[in-house]
Amino acid sequence: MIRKLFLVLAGGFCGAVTRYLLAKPLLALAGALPGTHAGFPYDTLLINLTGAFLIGLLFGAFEHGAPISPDLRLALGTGFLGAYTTFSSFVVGAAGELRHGQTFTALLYLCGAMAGGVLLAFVGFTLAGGLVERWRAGSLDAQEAAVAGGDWVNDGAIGDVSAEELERNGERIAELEGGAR
Amino acid sequence: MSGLGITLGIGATGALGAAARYLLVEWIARWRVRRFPLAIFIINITGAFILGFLTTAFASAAQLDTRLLLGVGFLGGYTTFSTLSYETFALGRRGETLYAWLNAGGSLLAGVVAAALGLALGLHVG
Repeated sequence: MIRKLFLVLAGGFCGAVTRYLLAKPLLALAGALPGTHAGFPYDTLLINLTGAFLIGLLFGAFEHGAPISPDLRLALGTGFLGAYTTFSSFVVGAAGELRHGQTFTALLYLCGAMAGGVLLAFVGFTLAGGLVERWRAGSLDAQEAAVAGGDWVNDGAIGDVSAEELERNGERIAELEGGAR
Repeated sequence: MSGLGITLGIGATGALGAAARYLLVEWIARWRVRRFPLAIFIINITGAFILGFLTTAFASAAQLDTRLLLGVGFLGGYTTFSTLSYETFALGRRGETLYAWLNAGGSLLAGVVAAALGLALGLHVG
């Protein structure tokens, strides 16, 4: 419990610091793009969307059997990404737009960010599945190449016997049985 | 507070916020509410209310450090958007479409109402 709490604390520290340090450059980046307007919380929006994608990627990799320990999942998912993204600033920002009479902007922000977050979590999850499959196939190919290249062929696989081998074994058994009679 | 001091301070309060969220999620898990991610919902709505309150109750320039440490740090670490997004996706993936919509829509509606109430209360007090 104490160890898990420490992992969340460490991840949370890094996540909150990253969010704070990224806010200014992200606002500057959004301000440089055409069509953006000053005062809108682009920093929170971009942080939340990237965090949703990354959590999909992390949990997707975990669910598809990538070698991610529950400890790492806790530190990065619950700790880092949990603290990196924020719901409170998101809805207070939207409520601020509402107070300034920007009803359409507020509704677009709320629904757009939420739909984008769920969609990006899905994209991250699916991408992780594909990456884990490719990584597995790659490591299997490497194993097969190692087996084919070496003279030691016992890879521990059971049932991996060719039809030719079965035929030869059958002939040998018949031969032995014939000799025994 | 200096730039480095406030950055480390936000890290420290953000870490405490994340730890509070973790402990609350573990505690609420004992209620055995299945199908709906109630813990993150409660955490996000309470965090939205408190941040709304802080924003207007501590609005002066002299109270910037308080807003940064408690608002950006603690409440930023306490509430989460990534887990909300992932849990909504996970509900949809399991075929719990109604709960997925309820989680996303309910969080948005209750979150904005809580934030607005907090902002109004802070104006009243501040």
